[in-house]
Amino acid sequence: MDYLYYPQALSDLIISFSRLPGVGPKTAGRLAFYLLQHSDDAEQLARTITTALREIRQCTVCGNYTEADPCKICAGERRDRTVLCIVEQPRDVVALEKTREFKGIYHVLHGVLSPMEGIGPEQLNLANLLKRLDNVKEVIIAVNPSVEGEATALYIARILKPLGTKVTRIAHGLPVGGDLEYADEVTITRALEGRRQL
Amino acid sequence: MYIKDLHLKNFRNYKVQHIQFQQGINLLIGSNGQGKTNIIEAINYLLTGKSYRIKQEDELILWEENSFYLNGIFNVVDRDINLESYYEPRKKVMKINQLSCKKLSDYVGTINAVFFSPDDLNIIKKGPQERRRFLDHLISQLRPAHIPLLNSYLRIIKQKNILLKSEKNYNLLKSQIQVWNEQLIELGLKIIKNRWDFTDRLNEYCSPIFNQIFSPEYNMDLIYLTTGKSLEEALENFPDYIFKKMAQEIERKAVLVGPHRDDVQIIFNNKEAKLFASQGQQRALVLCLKLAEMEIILNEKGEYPILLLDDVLSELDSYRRQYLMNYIRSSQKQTIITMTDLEEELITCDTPIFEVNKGRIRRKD
Repeated sequence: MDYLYYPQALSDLIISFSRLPGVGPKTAGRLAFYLLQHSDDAEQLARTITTALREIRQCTVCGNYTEADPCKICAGERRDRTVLCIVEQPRDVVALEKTREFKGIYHVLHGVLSPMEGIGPEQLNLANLLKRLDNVKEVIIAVNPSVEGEATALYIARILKPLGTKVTRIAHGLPVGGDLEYADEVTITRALEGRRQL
Repeated sequence: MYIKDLHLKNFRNYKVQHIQFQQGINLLIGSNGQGKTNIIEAINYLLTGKSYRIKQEDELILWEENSFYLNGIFNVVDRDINLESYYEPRKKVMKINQLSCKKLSDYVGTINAVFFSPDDLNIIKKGPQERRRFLDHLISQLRPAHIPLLNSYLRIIKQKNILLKSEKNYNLLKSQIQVWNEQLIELGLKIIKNRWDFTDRLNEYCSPIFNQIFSPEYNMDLIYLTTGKSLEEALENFPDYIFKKMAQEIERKAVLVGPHRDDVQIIFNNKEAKLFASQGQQRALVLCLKLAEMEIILNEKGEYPILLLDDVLSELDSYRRQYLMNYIRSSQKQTIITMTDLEEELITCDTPIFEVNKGRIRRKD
């Protein structure tokens, strides 16, 4: 490997970068050299990372990333506390918030069931969920429509249904503005299964 | 359908090679180890995005090179279609008419071929896996949605298998198995239905061919072995089977039921062909399956698929060889045949004969 030709500290930096998602060894090298040449940027980056790690934590209520605990959404007075939406990742909260259509509260699982990756129910943020259901009338499960996402949705539905909570799953099918002819067979099959009467 | 042009670059033992095929019969002649089968493999790879011989594509690259490229011009109905495959380690590009395909299921089934080699005897001789693969391959060509269906199903099986081995807490294990089972049932039912339908079709198309290559006292039947004796029964029983086996699955730490364990039983003279048919009869049965595949594709697509015969003529007895030769000579179909010695009977004045020698191909005048 090229790392052997670099001083120890530099190769450590490259290796650290290449552990990041979406970064290969070449990009990692480019980033490391850039930072060495631009020490101001490098120090700024180091400070930002330290601050982020110190200030950002998981909301003890919903599991979303936040500076204040509970988070803005959980503490928000205008939020409808009868509707709770379950998502995989904090990023999914942002996606839903951007629509400005959803006024309820969230619950972030931080993953989905996947025995291959050693993720079972205990690794997910599920214990807190059960404590939050007192006023909730509807739980919307908005995890991704992968095999693992479906398993997780079914798992949660099985726990919640006996408690008398209404559980719904977001629809999946054709994207708005998409072309039927370019959609793949699985998507079209799903869309057909989820058709509704006009 | 037929292939007009094939370009190979750094594929197997070919550095750079261009071959122009014709409609009808094309012969590839050469001694063993010269690269005849590699041409068949290249065509097959272009059509399916996979090699039937190896799992890791790295092995397809010419020694001391780092990528391979294949390009074929095919004719279907009245138009030309250009298929391209480029591969380098960790990068694979498949294109139809210069447009990249994101998924294999977008690519497979555009042009069809039926491939027949001596190894196909394994469909009869070996385990259920070979027969499932044969059936799934046929279904995938005509119903591309079968590919993602199988992939998702196998992923569920993998997740469930790992779950069965790793989860120690009994209650957590049971509740998780149930949710994987729900999806396993949903997809499993679709797979069983597809396979059942195509087993029926194979039966229908095998029977007239069988009657021509076997004497009338013989019979042949294909039975899809799954959770019931009829499709309705199988579909109805399947969910129950899954639930009933749960305790046993937990004990054995493995997934025990589902279409990944089904079989297509090949019955010859009311007995299992695997155990009771002779070697020659088994070969003739494979021939029957392959020609039925041709007819099913013809029926669905309105055109014969390309027939790729890799060294099979010499394996058949004279009567069946004659039958196969008449078959490839009759009606509009393209056949590409590899053989070590020239079969005079197959040659007419315009039959192209390609001599294959150490990774080079020369058309014989």
